This record gives sequence, structure tokens and C-alpha cells, in this order.
Amino acid sequence: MRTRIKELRARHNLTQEDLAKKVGVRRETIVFLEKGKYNPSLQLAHDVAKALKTSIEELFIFNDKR
Amino acid sequence: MKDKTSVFLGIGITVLIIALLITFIAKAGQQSIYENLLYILVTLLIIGTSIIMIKRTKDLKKGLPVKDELIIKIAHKAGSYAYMSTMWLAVILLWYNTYFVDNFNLPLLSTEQLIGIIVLLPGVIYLTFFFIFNKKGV
Repeated sequence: MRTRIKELRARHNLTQEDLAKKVGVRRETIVFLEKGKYNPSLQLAHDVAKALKTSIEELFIFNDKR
Repeated sequence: MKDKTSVFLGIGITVLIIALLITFIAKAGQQSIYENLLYILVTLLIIGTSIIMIKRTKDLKKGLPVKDELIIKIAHKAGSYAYMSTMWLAVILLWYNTYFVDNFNLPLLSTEQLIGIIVLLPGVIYLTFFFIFNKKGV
């Protein structure tokens, strides 16, 4: 899974720490999300999408192959 | 408030461990290699918990939470790995106290030493996995 968190975060002029505060998670969680190393819960995905004023589908790019 | 409570609890635990270490040091010079191993394990626990507490305090000062869904997953995974390691450790220690002591003329571990190792080593294993997963992800 790839994410567009970094791109959208930059568009909103937010640092990882700012986004972490908005979403209510640790900064490391944002780092892992940006790198695609962590599959978030639906709630967290929704919160991040909301903070970046986008939808989950826009934010997370899923690979069909597993 | 909940976050602050967990930080203060952590600090309390760290202080308790330090007090335990001071007690061990007071007995310095009279210990066997196994007792020294226990001191090393306690020291590693103090270092590990202190690192976690310092990180949490910094996060709190920045207004960030100390717990989120990722850290809970990391803690659960590290805990399950530490549990499995403890099971194997118990088997290895049992094997040591029977086969190795009899065949290689090694010193027998007393019940206190076995309990000490089985209680403290999983703590160190837990912290090791915790730091690994916190660095590499789950």
C-alpha cells in the first residue's frame, strides 16, 4: 500500500508533528504511515483523511496484488 | 490526564528499579556470575524504561499523545514475542539444570537464580523487541 500523506501534508504546509497533533497520534505513526510501513485502522485512516481534507480513497493507494 | 498518569507511573517504576539496583550494588563483591547477570539485566531494564520515559515526557511537552494504536500494537507484539521467549527460556534453563550440570560439571542454578532470570530476562527481551518494532514497524 502506498500513501499520498506526504504530498498532501506538504500541500497543507503541515509538518509531521502538526499532522500528528491534529490526528492525535505520535509523530512516529505518521512516519510509518507515510512510508507505507503501517496499515492503519479504518478510524485512523478516516482521521488522517479528514485532517488533510481528502477521502480515504484519495489518500491510500492499494495494490490489488497481495 | 491519562497520558500524564502513565508517565508518572513509568517514572515510579524506574525509581523502584533504581532502588533495586542500589540494593544489588550494596552487596557487590560477594556475588556469583549469575548474580552479576541479574545486575546486568536490571541495568538494561533501567536503561530501556528510562529511554521510553524520556521519549514520552518529550512527546507530552510537545502536546503529542504518548499512546496511539501503533504503539499499542507494538507493545502487544513485543509482549507476545517475550512470552514465547520466556517459554523457551524456561525449557533451556530446565535442560541446563539437568543435562548440562550433570554432564559438563557446571554449577547448578538455585531456585532464586532461576526465578530471577525468568522474571528479568523476559523484561529485557520485551524491551528489545519493543525498540526493534518501534524502529522497523509492525
